[in-house]
Amino acid sequence: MSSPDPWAPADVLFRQALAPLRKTDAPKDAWDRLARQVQGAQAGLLPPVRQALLRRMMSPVIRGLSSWDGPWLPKPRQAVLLSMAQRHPWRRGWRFPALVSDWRDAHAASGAAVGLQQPTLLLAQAGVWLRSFGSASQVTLM
Amino acid sequence: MQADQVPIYRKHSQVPDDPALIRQLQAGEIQALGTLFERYSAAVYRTALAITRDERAAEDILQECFLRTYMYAASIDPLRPLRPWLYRVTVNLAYDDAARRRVNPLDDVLEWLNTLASTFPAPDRRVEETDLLRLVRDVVAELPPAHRAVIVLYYLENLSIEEIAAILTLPAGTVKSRLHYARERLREMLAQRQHPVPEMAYEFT
Repeated sequence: MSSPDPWAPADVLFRQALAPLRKTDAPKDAWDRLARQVQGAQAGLLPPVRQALLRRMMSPVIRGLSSWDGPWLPKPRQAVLLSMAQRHPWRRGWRFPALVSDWRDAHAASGAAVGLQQPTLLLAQAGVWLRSFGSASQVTLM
Repeated sequence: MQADQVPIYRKHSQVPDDPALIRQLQAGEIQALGTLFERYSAAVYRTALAITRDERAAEDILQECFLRTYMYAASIDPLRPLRPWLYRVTVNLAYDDAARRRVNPLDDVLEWLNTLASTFPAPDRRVEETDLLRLVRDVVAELPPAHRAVIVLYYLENLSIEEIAAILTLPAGTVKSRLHYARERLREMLAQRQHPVPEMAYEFT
């Protein structure tokens, strides 16, 4: 007779611990968002940029900027950031290309070339900057 | 059709099998993507969620996975099972997500934002769990992504070691060693915390 598998209890525990995820379904709006992406790809307009990390970075910064009443960044950064804050309040499905589009619009008059990294870095700087003037908790509550 | 309307691609009157759907997709029939999405989106999403432990990242990976299915349909072999291909794309995207976080130079901002996220736990995280299962999840969470992927595919998706090896393009021995590592880690953590589950302690010795 073969001996019992010594790892069987561990296997049971791992399966039990992960079991709740089996009931997890894709978000309800996932298909609609994918369909929009496919439309964009069909039209050759939308690069397949997925930026969860960037969204996570930018969301509280944008929220913080929306109601910040302290000293401001030098123009024109202030104007661009305010535009982003006003036009893109945090919500699910918010997409980085929209931010880049805003950025390009804001710089259209100057004719400057705009890369994907620039708005990212600016918002990250803005996050550090907000913290330097106010407490993190102040931004958190916004 | 209005410019802002999103076409509903899904819902075939009959449900074709995967090879037929892939051929339809290769022929430019986009509704096939909707049927594949209905069929596999839950598996892709939960796998991504289990590896990244981040709902937003998992949503992005889900979207990217099926966008790639659409964009690279021509290179997909209809005669081979689609599910392993989707798992491979999902796991690779999850690795990319982990790498992006690792190399991001803006660690202070991220750390700050992570603190914010933990301040407001999602409602589903407030569900009562036993200490033991929480401990097991801690073990899974602290594994490197490459190890976590093996655990997720094995215990959550119920794939065999050979299937996982094929998906991750690893030798079966490496998959086994990663499983072994996770089990050993669990045993160590149970021992460290002197968890009151005598039969487990007995079995693990």
